[in-house]
Formats: sequence, structure tokens, C-alpha cells
Amino acid sequence: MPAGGPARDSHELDESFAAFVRDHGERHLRMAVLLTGDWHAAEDLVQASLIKLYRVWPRVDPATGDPDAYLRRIVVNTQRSWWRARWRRETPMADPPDTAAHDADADASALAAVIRQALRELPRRQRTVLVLRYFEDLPEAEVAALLGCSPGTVKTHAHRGLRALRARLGDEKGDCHERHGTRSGQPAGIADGRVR
Amino acid sequence: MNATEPDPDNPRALLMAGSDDLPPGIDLLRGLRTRRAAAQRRARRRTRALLPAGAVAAAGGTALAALLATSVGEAPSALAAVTGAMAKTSAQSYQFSLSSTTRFKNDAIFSSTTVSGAFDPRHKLGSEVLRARTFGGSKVAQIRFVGGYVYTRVTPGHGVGSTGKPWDKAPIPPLSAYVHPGQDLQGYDAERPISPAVLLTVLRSAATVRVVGPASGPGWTGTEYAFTAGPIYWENADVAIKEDVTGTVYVDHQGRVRRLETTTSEASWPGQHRLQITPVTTTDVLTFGGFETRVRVSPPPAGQVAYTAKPYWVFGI
Repeated sequence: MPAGGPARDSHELDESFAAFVRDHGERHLRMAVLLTGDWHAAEDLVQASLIKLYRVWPRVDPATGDPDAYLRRIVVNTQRSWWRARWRRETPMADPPDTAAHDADADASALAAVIRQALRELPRRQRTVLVLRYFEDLPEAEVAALLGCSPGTVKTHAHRGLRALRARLGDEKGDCHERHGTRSGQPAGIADGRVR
Repeated sequence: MNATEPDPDNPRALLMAGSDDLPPGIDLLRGLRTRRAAAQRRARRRTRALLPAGAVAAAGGTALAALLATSVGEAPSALAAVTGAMAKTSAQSYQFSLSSTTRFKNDAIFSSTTVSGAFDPRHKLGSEVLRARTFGGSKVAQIRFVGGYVYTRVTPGHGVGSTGKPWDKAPIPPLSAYVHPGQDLQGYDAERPISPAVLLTVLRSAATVRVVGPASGPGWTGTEYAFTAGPIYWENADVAIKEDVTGTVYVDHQGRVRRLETTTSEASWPGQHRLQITPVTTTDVLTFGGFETRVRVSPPPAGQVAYTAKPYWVFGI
């Protein structure tokens, strides 16, 4: 835990920070991939966010400080600023999973890609609300505070986002079933090397 | 789809499945290690600016910097005396010594810095030796001001970037380039010569000054003044900071600043949703003497100097 207590040397700080990343990094990475849509962008986003967190690591307030929540906030804000700057253009996934292997891993990978693509087609605000509300399991009020909007707006985004997500995934399933016979059950778009 | 397909009516399961293909080999600390390797080539001359990247740079141009000033005027003559002394002192050559300490509210030291040197504003010549100690280690910086340029060498270090040359040469930046009004009270946050005139901006825009009483020091007698400035608010995407500055200025009977003590309290802006920063307090004690003594400084040998458009060594990362 970062301390407002006695100043610690760099070695101790590095150890505590590395331990934090070991314990919490993967979950933030998974959140980031839902926000960005692909693992490369997610890795960049979390790395950039960790750099920001590290800068304030010695000064995170122990009374109110929750580095996990801080990092979540940084990830969301950084992703938003990247989006604003169009630094990360939301383009179709370039490297689809290997469709030749049809095993459990391939299924999971294909399914994940379809879900992320459906998320990516949502307006950014809806997508962010869904990720924070259902993946991070945050209450509406906390999502609202994080995004700087009202709980009512969060509720609306969540409702519309879920409805749109289900509709898109329903379309994918239908399309998938049409192709089932020729492409070994791969989700639509994956089989021919792209995600629509 | 197969049997592992999550229920669309269970959004949590759906989103969990959306990240189930975590690829192996991702190193989340790689970016930080790369960044730190670069940062180690720089000196942490001071860590008051240990804030997210861009905070210092952005502050000059985009910070709120809403100077919710108390009115200048409790004692106009006191303000005039102090600002006049600062202007007079900064217009002649002087020697100085600065001690700066940043502490957490429990009094533990976060960083400490000392600077000593001399500056001749008429000939734009100056030299400083700066020693900084932070949680990241200790650094010593030699700084020379010649003409409109600042030369800096930091040890231990690896020189300027890939050139390996020990000295950096850069134009002396304007005061507003890197810092917001309340952050730099002496000049060295902005890579400028340390001068009593730097505080003038704060005093003129947001301060109450009053006479405390007579004062004296080694070889001088004069007057003690106290001032308060702020609160000063500034923000960027990650933090919102509120600063309060209080201080004491000792002016001798020749109208020169002899001693300048400032205390800057820094905390998060209440009610905002950005990072909460542990409050810190920075105490600076700056003394002046050796007025009108000649300052002899020459630039480092040309073969040891790398030119950069902006100072290579900066405060913080």
C-alpha cells in the first residue's frame, strides 16, 4: 500500500508497486481489452496507466487511497483521452484467431473476439458504462462519479448498451448458424479473417 | 457457438467471456521499465513536481490557475516595500543559498534540496550547485548561466542522451513555460536563475503583505514582512491541486532582500474525482548576500556540450 507515512527508498517502492501489478494487473488488462477491443491496445493502455500510477505511488493517500480504484480511473481517463485524440482508431481486428484449430481455446478466443467486436460497435460511453457496471461490478453511483455524469445517465447507458449488445450478439449468432456447416461453427466474420 | 457460450441475459458472464482469451507473455511493467531507464538519465533535481506527466508543462498554459486572490491592500506600503526590495535585489549581482524540504503531513521528509550559487543579472552570468535527495536517490547538478543559455551537468548520470556528452546547453526558458504561478517561487523549477524576483508574480497577483517588525541578521538590520497568497488552484486530467503560500521576507535598510522564507501547502482540490494526493508541505529558506560581487563563469568546453532546444534535465520524471 502506498504510504503517506515515512518516506521509503526506491527499492521498497518498486517492490510494492511490482507486487500491486502482479496482484491486480491482469484484471485491469482484461478491463482494458473490453474498452479498447484488442489486446495490443489494451497492453499499451495499461502500461501507460501504470506509468501514471507509479508517478503518484509514494503519495497516494492511505486514508482515501485505493490504488486499484486509482488505476481504474486512470485507465478509463487515459482511454478516453486516447479516443479523443483518435490516437487509437477503432479499426477492425487485424489478427483473428487461428480458425484451423477447433478446440476449447479456439472457441473461447473466437467467442471473446465476437463479444469484443459487439462491444466495440457500441458508442464509447455505453461501452464504458457496461464494462464498469458489469465487468468491474461497480454500483451505478460509482460509475457515475468515475465518468462525471449522473446515476440516471449511467442507468440509461447501461440499459441501451445492454439492449444493443444483445441485438448485435443475436445477429452474430444467426449469421454464425448460417455458416456453421462450412466453417466449423466459427462466429461470423472470424472465419474469413476479419470481424465485421 | 458451442456450449460455453454465456447467457446474453447475464452481462457479467458475457463481459468476462469477452476477455477470456488473454494471450500469454504480456509484460505490464515493460513500459515503466523503459520509461524509468530514460528517466535515470535525467536528474530529479526536485520532486515537488512529482505529478503526472504534463502537469507542469500544461499548467503554464492551460491550468485553471484561478487566483482567488485576497485583495492587495492591507498594507500597500508593505507590499511596495517588499516588491521593491525584490526588484532591487534581482537587478544587482548577489550570492544566495537555498534549502528546500518537502514533507508529508506526519513530518516525514519526501525530498530535500539545497542550492548555492551566485548570479549577475547585468551580465547574465551565474553558477549554481544543486544537491537533491529524494526517494529515487541523490543527484548533484552543476548549473551555469551564460548569456541566454543554461548549461547543466548532473552526476551521477550518463550524459545527454545518446551523445554521452556531460553538459546540456539550452536556452533559458521563460518563467511561464513549465510552472504554474504558485509552483516556482525561486526560479529553479523553471530552470532559471534563482532570484527573489520570481516571487513577485505571486505577490502582485494574490497576496496580502504586512509589516511584522524590526529584524536583523549577520551584518544587517531591517524589517520583517509576512505575506499570504492563494489559494491557488490548478488542474490537469489526473489531479486537481490547491496550494496556499505563506512566507516571510526580511529586507535590510538598503532595501535589499536578505532572507526569504516560504511555506507551500499542497493538497487535492476538495470535491473533485481525480487522484487524491497526500498533502505535502514545502518549506523554502533562501538567503542573499555578497551583493555587487563579480561573478566569473565561463561555458563548459564545447566538446563536452550537447545542445537541446529545451533543458534536458528537468524536475521530476
